[in-house]
Parts: sequence; structure tokens; C-alpha cells
Amino acid sequence: MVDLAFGFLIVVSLAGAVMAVALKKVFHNLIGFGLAILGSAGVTVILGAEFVALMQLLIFLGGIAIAMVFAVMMSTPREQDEEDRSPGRVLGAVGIGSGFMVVVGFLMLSGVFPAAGPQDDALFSAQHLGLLLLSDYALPFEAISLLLLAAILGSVIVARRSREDDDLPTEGVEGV
Amino acid sequence: MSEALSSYLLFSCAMFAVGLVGVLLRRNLVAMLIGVELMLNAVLINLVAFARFTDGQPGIGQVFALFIIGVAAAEAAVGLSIVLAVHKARGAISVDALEELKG
Repeated sequence: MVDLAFGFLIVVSLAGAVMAVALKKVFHNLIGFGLAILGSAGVTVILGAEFVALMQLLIFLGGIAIAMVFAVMMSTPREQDEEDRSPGRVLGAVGIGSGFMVVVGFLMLSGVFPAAGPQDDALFSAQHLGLLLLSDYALPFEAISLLLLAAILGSVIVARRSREDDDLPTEGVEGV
Repeated sequence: MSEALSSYLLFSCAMFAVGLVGVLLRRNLVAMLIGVELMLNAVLINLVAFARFTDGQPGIGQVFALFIIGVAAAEAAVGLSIVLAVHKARGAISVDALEELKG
């Protein structure tokens, strides 16, 4: 039963990933991206990491995908420029990708990992994770908060500065 | 199948490869960002799978997975604001429009 669900999730998320890469319209790419994230969140649930799966859904789908939809809406190209899909480019990209997959897949399968079988569920729970984040990993946790704050402030500044270069009158609009 | 480490590794490897193809193939900035997010997602699955199936403290893999999610969010915020800035300056979001530094 779990195997069946696992196979289904893998098929869904890989199909979504291929959609996210191969289709020409960015909006269709985003739908494929959503499928890929849904499927891989399911895989994370099968692995027993429910909290990570929820965060994956919340941030990748609820945050990043939605922000990308807004970016697509606000940045419609003035002229529809066709992407270069010459056979050479496609073959080169797919060749590098599949070469990567063959080499890394071979290394992964031939590697010897200290296998322990599935770990204890209690050590995998959200409660244990919360304790870890507030004790051993408190400093990295704070660092990532700082990184997020800096990134978001930076992105606001980058997006604002380009607006000031426009010829549109900004007085009166600023005072809102 | 769902009890073996190698199936998760192959899955995440395939997803990483698809993301890599996306970054190499596409010329649209948003589509390239989608490729990068797919790669980050693949790494996340990899970390959780290793935490599940190998020795060591199992929480650490999840902690790193959460950090990857945070970094992905930061990267998407900066990347999308750069997309907006490029669109305002050039009217296009293709990387072909950005070639000042081309040697």
C-alpha cells in the first residue's frame, strides 16, 4: 500500500517537474512546479517527516509559487520573445542533465552508507525537532532568521529602486 | 520499495537532473528560478532520506531540510525582485537581454 502510494507520488512529482521545465508558457511551468512540490511533500510524509512536509507545502507552494505567479503577472514581456529551442540547445541541456543523473545515480547506488534501517519515529517527531532547534541549533536558527530578514529587505530595495527611475510623477503617490 | 534508501536517492537525483536541465535550457528568468527551486527541493528530500535511513541523530537531517527551505525562500524573494527590476529596465525577462558583461 505504501509502495503504491510512493510510486504514484514519484510519478506525479517527476511528471510535474518535467512540465515545469519543458512547457513554454511560464504559467504552465508554475502549475507543473506545484505538482512536483505536492508529490515530493508526499514523499517526505512517507519518510516520516510530517513537519518538514508541511513546511515544504507552506513555503514552496504558498510562498514561492504564489510570489512567482505575481512576478509573472507583473512582468509580462512587451514583445513575446520566443525562446531558442534549437535541437542543439535542447540536446546539450538534456545531455548534461542525463549525464549528471547517470554519474550521480551510479555513485549513489555503488556507495556504502552506514544503513540503520528506518529510524525510530520518536526521534523523528516534530517535538524532537523543536527541542533541537531551540537547544543545539539555536544559533543557526537565529542566523537563518537574520538571512531571511536581510534578503527580504534587500529585495524590497531592489524592487523599489527601479521604480524611482521611471518618469512617472512620484509626488502625491508617496504620501499614502 | 519505500523502505529502501536507494529509491529515495534515485528519485531526488532524477528531480535534481530535471531542475538542472531547466536552468540550462530556459532563457526566461522565472523559469530558471523554477529550475533552481526544483534542485533545492531534490536536495531536501535527499537530506530527509539520509536522516531516516542512516546512523546518527535523525533530527539533524530535518533541521538541515528546514534551513534549506529558509534559504529557498530568501533566494526566491531576491530572485523575483531582480526579475521585476530587470523587467522595469529592459521590458523583457529573458537573460538574453542582459549581456553587458559578456566578454
